[in-house]
Amino acid sequence: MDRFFRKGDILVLVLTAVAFFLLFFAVRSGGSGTATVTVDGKPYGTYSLKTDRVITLDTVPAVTLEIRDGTIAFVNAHCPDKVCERAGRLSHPGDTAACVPAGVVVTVTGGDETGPDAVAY
Amino acid sequence: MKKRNPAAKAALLGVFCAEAIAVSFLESLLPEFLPLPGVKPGFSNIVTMFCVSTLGWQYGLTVTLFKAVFALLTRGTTAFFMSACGGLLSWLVMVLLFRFAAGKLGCLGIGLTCAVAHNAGQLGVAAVLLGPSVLALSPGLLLAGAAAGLVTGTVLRLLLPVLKKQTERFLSPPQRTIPPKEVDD
Repeated sequence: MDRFFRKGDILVLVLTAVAFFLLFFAVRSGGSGTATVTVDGKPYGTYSLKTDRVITLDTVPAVTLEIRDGTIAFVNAHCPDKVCERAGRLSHPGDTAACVPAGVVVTVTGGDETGPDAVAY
Repeated sequence: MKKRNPAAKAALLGVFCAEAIAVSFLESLLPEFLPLPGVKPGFSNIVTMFCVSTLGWQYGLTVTLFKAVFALLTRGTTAFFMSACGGLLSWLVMVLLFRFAAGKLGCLGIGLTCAVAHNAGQLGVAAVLLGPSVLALSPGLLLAGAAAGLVTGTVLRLLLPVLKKQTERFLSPPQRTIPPKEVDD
C-alpha cells in the first residue's frame, strides 16, 4: 500500500490486457451492418443501417432513434442528462449506446465492416 | 490499534464522506474528454481505498454506502443502484486485496483492480436493468477503468501522507493533560 509499484502490479496489468483483448474480440464478432434495439432487456427490433429511417419508441421518456448514412444515434432525448445523445452516431460493430431512464439499449452488430483499426488524435 | 474515541471516529467518518462527495462533484465538472459518455475518473475511490487500507473495512463500507445514498437523493434510483453496486463490488475487492495481497501489490495495481471492479459492478447493474446487450460496452469500460485506476492509484500514493496526517489529527488529538505548548497548526 505504501509502495507505489510492486511486482504484483505487472501481473495485474497483464491480466487486464488479456481480459481486454478477449472481451474486445468477443464483442466484435457478429452479423453485418445492423442495429439491435432492446427495451427493458427484451428484444425490440433489429434494423439494417443501410436504409435511412427514424424509429420512435413509446417508452417513458420517449426515445427517438435515427438511422442515417450507415449510422444510428439517439436524437431528441427527453431525459435531463442526455448521456445517450452524447454517445453520438454508432456505426462499428460492438458500438453501444444506452438510455437508462427509458431502458433502451442500441447495439451495432456486424462483422465484415472494414475501417481503420485505430485513430489517433 | 488503541481504543478510539467514538466521537472522533464519527467526525473522521464525516470528513471522509464529505471528501468523497466533494471529489465526485468536482470531477463531474470536468469536461467529457473520452469518447465513452458518462465515464469518470472516480477520484472518490481514493478516499475509500485509504479508509479500507488504514482504518478498516467498516470505514470503507460506510463511505461507499453514503455515496450511494447521496446519489439516490440527488440523481434518483437508477443512479443509486449504479453507485451502490459499483461501489460495493469495488469495496469487496478492496477488502480482499488488502487482506490477501497487501504486500504483493502497489498503489498502481490496487487502484487499477478497484476501478475495474467498480465498472464491472455498474455494468452488471446495467445488464440487469437493460439486458445483456450493454455488455458490448465491456472492452471500453475495462480500458477506461484501467486508465482511471492507474491515475487514482498514483494520486492515492501522493496523498497518503496528507490523509494519514488528517486521520491522526482526529484519532489522536493533543492530550489535555500535557502542557498546551505542543499545539501545532
